[in-house]
Amino acid sequence: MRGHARLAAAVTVALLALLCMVGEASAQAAVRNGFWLEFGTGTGTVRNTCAGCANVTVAYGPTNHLRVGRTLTPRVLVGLELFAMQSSELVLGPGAAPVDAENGSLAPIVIWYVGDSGFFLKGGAGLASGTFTVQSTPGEPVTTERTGSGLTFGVGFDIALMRWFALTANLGTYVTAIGDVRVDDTVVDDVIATVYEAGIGFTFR
Amino acid sequence: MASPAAGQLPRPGATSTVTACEGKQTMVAVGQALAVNLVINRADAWLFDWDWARVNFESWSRNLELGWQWDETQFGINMFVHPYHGSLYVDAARANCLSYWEAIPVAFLGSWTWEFFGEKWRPSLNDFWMTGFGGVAMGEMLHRVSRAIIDEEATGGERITRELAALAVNPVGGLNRLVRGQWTGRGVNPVDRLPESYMFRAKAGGRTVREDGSPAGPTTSPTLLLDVAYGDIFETESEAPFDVINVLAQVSPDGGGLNILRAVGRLYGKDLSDRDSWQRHQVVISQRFDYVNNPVYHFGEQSLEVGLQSLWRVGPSGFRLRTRLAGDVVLLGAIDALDAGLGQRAIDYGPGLGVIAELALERAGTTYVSLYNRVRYLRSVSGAPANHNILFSGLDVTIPVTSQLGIGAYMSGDRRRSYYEDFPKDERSYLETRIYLSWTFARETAGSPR
Repeated sequence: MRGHARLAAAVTVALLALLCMVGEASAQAAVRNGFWLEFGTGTGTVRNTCAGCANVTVAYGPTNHLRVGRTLTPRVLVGLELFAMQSSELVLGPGAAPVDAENGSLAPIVIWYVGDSGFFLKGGAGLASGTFTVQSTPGEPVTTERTGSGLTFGVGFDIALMRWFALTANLGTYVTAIGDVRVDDTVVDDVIATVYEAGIGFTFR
Repeated sequence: MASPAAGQLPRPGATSTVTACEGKQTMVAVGQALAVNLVINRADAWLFDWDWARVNFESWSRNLELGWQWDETQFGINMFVHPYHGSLYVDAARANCLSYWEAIPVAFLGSWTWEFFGEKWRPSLNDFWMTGFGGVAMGEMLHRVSRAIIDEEATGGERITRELAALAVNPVGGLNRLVRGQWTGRGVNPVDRLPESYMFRAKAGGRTVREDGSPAGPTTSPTLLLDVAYGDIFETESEAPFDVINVLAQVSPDGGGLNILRAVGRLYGKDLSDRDSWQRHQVVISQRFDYVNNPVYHFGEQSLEVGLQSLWRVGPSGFRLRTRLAGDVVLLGAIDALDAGLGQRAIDYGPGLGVIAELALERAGTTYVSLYNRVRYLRSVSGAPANHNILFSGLDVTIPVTSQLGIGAYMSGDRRRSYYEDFPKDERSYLETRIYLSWTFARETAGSPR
C-alpha cells in the first residue's frame, strides 16, 4: 500500500509537470501519420462488483499499457491496446477471501483527436481477463483465471516534444466482465471489475 | 439550403451535386441525445407509471457507486428495444450533420447516461453494449431509409405525406426538419439520396416451428416476411458506411411478434474485379445485427464481419450466382441460458466468433434458390462459464408466377450445443418450415451494369 501511495504521488507530480510543459511544447508540431506505438504506466483503482454484491469493493495498484496502431487520418488512429493492472487484498464478493488480482484487456481501439490540440478521446472493445490468487488454508496459493469481455473509454492529451515523440497523459476506464469466479470454495456471481487509471505514455510515431 | 459540395461528382443519372447535410453541430447533437433520454424517462414515469423510471438523486448515487451488472432477463427488451433506443441517439447526431463515425461516441454517451441516470435499476452492461452497437446499426439504417423517403422537390400533400412517413421511421430526424422549417421548403435532393438500386420483397404465408424431441410439439402460425435491399454490393460504389444495407424481418402472431430482425450494413468494400467482368468479387467489411425471437429459442448478436462476396453470370439467360463467405467477430451475443450458474438467469451473454457461407441463384431481381450455413461460437461472460456452438442452416426456393409474384418454401434446421463447467452438456435442434406467396419490387435508379 505504501508503494502504491508513492507511485500515485509520482504519477500525479508527473501529470502536473506534463501540464506545465504544455505551453512550451505547443510550439512543436504534432505529426500523426503512419504507424505509431505508445507504452506507459500509471496508477489505478479497481472497483469490483457482482450480481449479489450489496457494496463495491475497492483496491489500488499500478497499471501498464501498450498500444500499437496505424493512423487513418491526422485525427483518427486505430490500434490494439494491451492493458494490465495489479492489485492486492481485493474482495470479489460476499464470503470470498481477499485475493491478489490481475485485471487485463486486449482490445482494438479508436483514438479520435478532437480539434487541433493534442486532446483525444479513446474507445474500444475486446477481450478481458482476470487472474486471482488466494492463499488457501492450508496449502499452496490457488490461482483462478477467467476471460470475458472488455470495454475501454478514456481521454488523453499529447504533448509533442519532437516530431516523432510525444508524452501522453491518459485518464481511462476499463470494464472487465468475466462471469462467475470461484475463490476457494466460494463462487462469486457475475464479476464485473471497473478499473480507473491515470497514467503517462511515451508515444512514438 | 445546401450548396454544391466541392469535389463531389454526380452519380450517373443523378441531377445534383448537393450533399445531404452541411453545418456540423456536435453540441446540439449531444444535447438532443440527452433530451431523448429525458423525454423517454419522463414518459415512462408520468404516462406509463413505471417505477423503474422514477429516478432521483438517491438512485443516481447508488448506480454510480455500485456500477455495472448483467441484465439476464427480458430478451426482447434488451436485444431489440434497447438498440432502437440507441438509434435515436444516432439519428440526433446524423440530423446535426455528424458522420456515421462521429455518431458512435454520441450513441455510447447517450447509452451510458441512460443506464446510470435514466433507470432506477443498476446500470446493465449488456444494455449499454446493445444500445450502443445496436443503436449505431439501426440508427444508420433508419437515417438512410428516411432520407430516401424525403423528396425535397415534392410539394403539397405528397411532400407532407413523405415527411410524415420519414418522421415515423426517424422521429428525431423528422422533428429536426420540422423545427428547422424543412417540411415545406422546396430544395434540391442530395446526390446520394437514393441508392443505385433497391429491392423490396414481401412474403406472406404460414410457418411451423418445433424443437426436435420436445414434448411440446410444433407451433403453427401465419407469418409475414419483409426482405429489403438498399443498394447492391456490386452496383453501389463503396463511399460511406451503410451505403449498402440488407434487412430481413419476420413477424408472426406467436412467439413475441417480431421473430426475426437481421440487418447487415456495409462499412467498406474493395472491388477485386472489373465492373464489366462476368465474375465479380469484393472484399467486404460489414456491421451485423441479429435478433431471433421465436417460440422455441432466442438468439441475438452485434458483430463485425469480413468476407468475400462474389457474383457470377451463369450463361446467357440472365441467371446469376451470388456467393458469400465471411468470418465474424461477435462483439456481444445472447442466447437462452439453461438454468446453469447462480441467481436468476434466462440469457447468456458473451463475445464470440462465427463463419458464414451463403449461395443464391437469382435472375432479374428474383432469388430462385438460396442456401446458407452460419456457425456461431459464444463464450458466456455473464454467469457460469459456458461455451455455446450454434449452427444455422436453411434452404429457400421461390418459383416465379409473374415478374413480381411467386410461390415459395423455406426450411431451416438450427442446432445448438452448450458446454457448461458445472452443468451437463445440452444439445437441442430446432426446425422451421414456411410456405408463402411472395411479391417483389426491384428498381435501378441509375445506370448500373448487369
